[in-house]
Amino acid sequence: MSGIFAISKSGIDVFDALESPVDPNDFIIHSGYSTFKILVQGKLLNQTVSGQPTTFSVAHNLGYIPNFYSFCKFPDDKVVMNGEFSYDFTGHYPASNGYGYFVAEADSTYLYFLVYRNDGASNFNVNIKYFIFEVVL
Amino acid sequence: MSIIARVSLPGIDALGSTDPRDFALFADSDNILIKEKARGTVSIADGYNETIAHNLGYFPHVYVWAQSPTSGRWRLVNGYTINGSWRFYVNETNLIIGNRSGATRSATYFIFYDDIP
Repeated sequence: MSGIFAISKSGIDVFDALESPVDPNDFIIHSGYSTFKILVQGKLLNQTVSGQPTTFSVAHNLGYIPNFYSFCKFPDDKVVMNGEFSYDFTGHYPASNGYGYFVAEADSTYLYFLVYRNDGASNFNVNIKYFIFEVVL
Repeated sequence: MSIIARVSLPGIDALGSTDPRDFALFADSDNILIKEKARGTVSIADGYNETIAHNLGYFPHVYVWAQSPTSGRWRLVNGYTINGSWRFYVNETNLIIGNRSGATRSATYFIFYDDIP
């Protein structure tokens, strides 16, 4: 037997929303549409950045390249996603403008986190949080 | 015995699968409740754009992943990278992905029904 599981957003009658044409944006969840499921999440704490870049890796051993999100927390409490700096959008590279740059990559075996130091910056520690989804890239 | 909640996607027997990809809700783990419309992988030559029509009539939530020009691994594409460029933008009709990474490489995209107000 097939059916529909649906939870509508606040203020929307779920039965009205299920009438054709269905607007997926009326729902918090609708069984007709896939979501991202978090398979694994983890942290790398107090990782020392001493190179240019320093690479940290985590084995996921999924056998496929997974979709994942990750966040890097720099010592100035700026938390960034892949491809972002820890500075205030005023410039880059000089150590006076912040700590560095964060890149996150995946292959079929590992996640790789590359942290670049700004020119002239001393070693520093970062925390990294990652979420691996069931979605195959 | 623990109780779990799973809601399978159309055509999938919820009791016959344990693969999270078969489910709209898989409460064994946490879920991000965005509703997927389409996904795909495209190969794009350097210096070219690929246009993927979504025809939703509004700006949808999208993600793009692409191969790094330096390592060949996969990265989330966003606005800036210091070693090789991928770009994308979305409008009310299309998702446009641009490869400026220096060689023909692949990108994988996800388009969701969820709109960006």
